[in-house]
Amino acid sequence: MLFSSIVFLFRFLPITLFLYYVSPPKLKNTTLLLCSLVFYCWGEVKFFWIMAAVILINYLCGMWIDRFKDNLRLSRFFLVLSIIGSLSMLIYYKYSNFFITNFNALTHLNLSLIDNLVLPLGISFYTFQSMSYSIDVYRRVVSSERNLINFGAYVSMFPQLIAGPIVRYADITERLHITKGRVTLDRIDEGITLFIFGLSKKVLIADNVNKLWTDIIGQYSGGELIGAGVGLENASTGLVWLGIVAYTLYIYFDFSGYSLMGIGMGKMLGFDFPMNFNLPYISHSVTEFWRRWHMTLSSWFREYVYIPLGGNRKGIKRQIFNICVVWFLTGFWHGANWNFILWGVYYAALLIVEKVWLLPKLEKGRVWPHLYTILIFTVGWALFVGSDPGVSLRLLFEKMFIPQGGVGALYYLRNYIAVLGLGILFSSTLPQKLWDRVKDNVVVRGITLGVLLVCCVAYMEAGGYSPFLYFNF
Amino acid sequence: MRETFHKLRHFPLILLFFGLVALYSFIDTLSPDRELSQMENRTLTQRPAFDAAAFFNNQWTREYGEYTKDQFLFRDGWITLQSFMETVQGKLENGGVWFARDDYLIAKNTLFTEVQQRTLEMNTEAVCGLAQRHEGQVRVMVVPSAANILSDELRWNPPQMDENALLDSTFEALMEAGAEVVDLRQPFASAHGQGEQIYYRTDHHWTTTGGALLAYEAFCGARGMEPILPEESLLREVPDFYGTNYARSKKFGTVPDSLFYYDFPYPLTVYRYEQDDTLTAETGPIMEAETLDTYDRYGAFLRGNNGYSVIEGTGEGSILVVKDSYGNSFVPYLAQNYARVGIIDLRAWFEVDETFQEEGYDEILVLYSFDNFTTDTNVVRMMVQ
Repeated sequence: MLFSSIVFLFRFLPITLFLYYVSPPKLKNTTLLLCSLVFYCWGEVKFFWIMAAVILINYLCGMWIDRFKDNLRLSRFFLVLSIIGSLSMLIYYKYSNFFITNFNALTHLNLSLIDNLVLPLGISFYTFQSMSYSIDVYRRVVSSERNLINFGAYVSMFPQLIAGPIVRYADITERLHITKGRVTLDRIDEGITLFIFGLSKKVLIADNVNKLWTDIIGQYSGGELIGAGVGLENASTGLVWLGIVAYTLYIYFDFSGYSLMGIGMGKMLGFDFPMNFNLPYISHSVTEFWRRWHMTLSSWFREYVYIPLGGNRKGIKRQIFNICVVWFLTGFWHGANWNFILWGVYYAALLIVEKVWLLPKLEKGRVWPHLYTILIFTVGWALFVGSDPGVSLRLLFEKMFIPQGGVGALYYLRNYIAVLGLGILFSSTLPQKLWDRVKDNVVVRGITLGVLLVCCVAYMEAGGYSPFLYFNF
Repeated sequence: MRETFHKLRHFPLILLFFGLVALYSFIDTLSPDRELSQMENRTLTQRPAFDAAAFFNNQWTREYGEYTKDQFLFRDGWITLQSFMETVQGKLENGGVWFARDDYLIAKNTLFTEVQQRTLEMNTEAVCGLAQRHEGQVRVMVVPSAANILSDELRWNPPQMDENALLDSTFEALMEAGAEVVDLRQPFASAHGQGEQIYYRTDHHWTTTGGALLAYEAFCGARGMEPILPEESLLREVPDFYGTNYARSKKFGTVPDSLFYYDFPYPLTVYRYEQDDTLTAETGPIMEAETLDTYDRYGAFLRGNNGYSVIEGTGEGSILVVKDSYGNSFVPYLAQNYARVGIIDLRAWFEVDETFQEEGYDEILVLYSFDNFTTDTNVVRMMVQ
C-alpha cells in the first residue's frame, strides 16, 4: 500500500491508529504487529513468509547469542547463522541472476537464469534491520528481545517496513518497551506535521517533477512500457540535462518525502525514528553530502562495516580500502547491476580525493564548492538511473557530454517551470527557516498544514499510479 | 482518558486533522458508489469481488485501491481542484491535451509510436484492397488532426510528429491502388487562416458548420457535384458543450463550445443484429434528442455509433460511407445529394463488400480521422476473408 494513496490515508491509517490508540498498553505491540502484517500482505502476500522467516531466525539466534554470551565460539556461531539466514534471502532474490549473468560472461558458459525472480517487498530494508539487531546483541550493545511479538513488531512496523528509514533495534528498544504512556500528544502533533510535509514532498513535488523525466524516457511498470515518451534517443542534450535535473529533484523529494511520512507515523505511534535526510542538496562537499543523504543507510554501513574494518584508525591506506569496500557495498545494495556499483565506486573515488586533498580547499570557498557538489551529485544520479527501463547508460552519457540536437528543452522547461522552481526552493534552507518563525502560531500552522493536505488529496485523486521509487530495493 | 481529553485542548491540530480525516473516511465509506463519471466520460471502478488467486498476485489489492480512489467522495470536486492548481502553475498541458491559444484544447500529437505505425500500414493496406476490388468507386478522406491544422495556436512550440509526411505517403499508396483521395489539408488551412472554427475547442471532433461542411464541399468538388448549403432555418444550436478534450484535461476555466446541427427531415434507419441473429430495423430522426442533454452531446449525431444505418435522402444515387465518429456530423450533408446513404461503422459491423453488393450501392466513401486511422484496429474488417 502506497502511503500517498487514498486507500492508505482514508482507510488503513484511520483504522490502524484507532485500533492502536484504543488497545490496552500491553496489547499495543500486538496490534501494531497485526496491522503491519495486513499492510505487508496488502502489498505482497506471496513473500510474507520470507519476512516471517527472517524475523524468526533473528529472534531465535538473538536469544541464543545472549544465552551463550560467555561462550565465544557458540555465540559467534549463532551470529554467523543469523547473518547468513538474513543475507541468504536477500542475495538469492536480489543478486542471483546478476551473479549468474556475470559468471556466464566470465566463463562463457550458458547457465540459465532463474525465472520469475521477483524482489520481495522491503527485503533490503528489513534484512538490514534484523542484521543490525543480531550484531548489536553479539556486541552486547543491547540485550536480546525475549518477546517474539515485540521483535516482530520492531521488524515489521509499517511506517518503516517497506522503505526505511533503517531503524536499529538499539534506537527503538526503549520506546518499544514502554507501553503505558508511549503515545504522547506532543509526538502525535509533531507526527502530523512531519507526515503532511512528507506527503506534500512526495505528491506535490516528486510525482509532478517525475513527469518531466517520464515525458522523455516513457512510463514503465514492471519493465513494461505503459506510456510512451519522446525517447532518450530523440532528445537533445539540453533536454536530457533538464531531464536529469528533474530526476535529481524527483529522487530526493520522493525518498525524503516517503521517509518523512514514515517518521511522522512513527511519532504518531509513539516512536522516535532517526531522520533520514538533512537537506543534502545544500552540501558544499561530497563528504558533507553523504552526511545528509539517506543517513540511516550510511550510518548502518559505518557502524557495521566501516568501523569493524578499522575505520580510519589503521592508517590512510587501510582507510582508503575501507572506503572502497563500504561504497562498493552501498552501490550494490541499491541494485543488482553494474551501474549501481559504478555509482558507488564513483563516490568512493570522490570521497577519497576529498579526504586526501580537496576538502580543506572546499572549506575555504563559498560558492564554487556548492556548485561543484551540485554537479557531482547530478551526474551521480545519471549513473544511478542508467539501468532503468527506457535508459541506456552509454546513450545517456553520450547525450549529456557530446552536444547533440533533437527535441528541445524549452517547451518542457516552460511546462514544468513551477514544480522545478518549487523543487529547487524546497531543497534549500529557506522553507525551514520560514517555518521555524511561524510554527508556534497554531493558526498559521493549522492553515498551512490544512492547505497542503487538501492539495495533496486533490493530486492523489486526480493522478495516475505513481509508486515509490525505492520500492524496488 | 479524561486526562487525555483535557490535554487535547492544547493540541487543537490533532483534534482537527484526526477528526476531519476520520469523519471524511467514515462518510466516504457510507456514500453510494457511482457507475459513471459524466465529467471524465468514463465508467468508474466498482468494488472488486474477492478472489483468492487475484489476491495472491496483488491484483485484487491493486483494484481495491483503484476502487477506493474512483469512488472517493466528491471526486469531481477534487479533480477540479487539481486542474485549478495545474492552471495556476502555468501548465501547458494536462491529460494528453494541450492548452492552446484562443481557448482551444488540442489533443497532443508529440508521439507516433511503433504500434501506430503498424496500424497505419495495416489500415492503408485494407483500404487499398477495397479500392482494388471496386475500381473507380472508392473515395477516401483521412482528416488531418487539429494539432496539425491548428499548430499555430500551440504555445511554446511543443514537439510534434510529422503528420503531413505520413498523410503524404498514405495518400500516395491509396492513389496507387486506385482510390480517389480528397485531401482536406489545403481547404482547412486556408479556412483556419480566415478565422473559421474547423474543430471544436473542447472536443476532438470537427464542427458541423466548420470542418464537416468544408469536407462536404471538398467531397462534392472531387465528385463533380454541387454542394448544397442547407437552409438557415434548419440550424439548431446546443450550447455548453464540454467535449472529450475537456473530459481528458479538465482544464479549469474552459470555454465551452456550442454544438450546431441541421435539423434535416431525412429518416435514419438503424439496423441491428439481435442476440438470436435476427436483424431489426429502427427508423427515426438523424439526431438522438436525449443525448443532446448529456455531457457527450456529439454522440447524438446519427443516434450514436451504429453498425449499419441508412438515411433516405432527396438526391440521386446511393453511397456507402465507411466511417469513424467524424463521419457522424458529415454524413447528413450527403443526404441532400443522394437518394440513399448507407453508413457502416466497423466497430460494430463486419461486412463491407457484402453490404455494398447486396444493397446495391453505387460508390464508397471511406472517412476516418488521422488519429483513428492510426489506432483503430477494426478497419481491417473491410478486408475480404
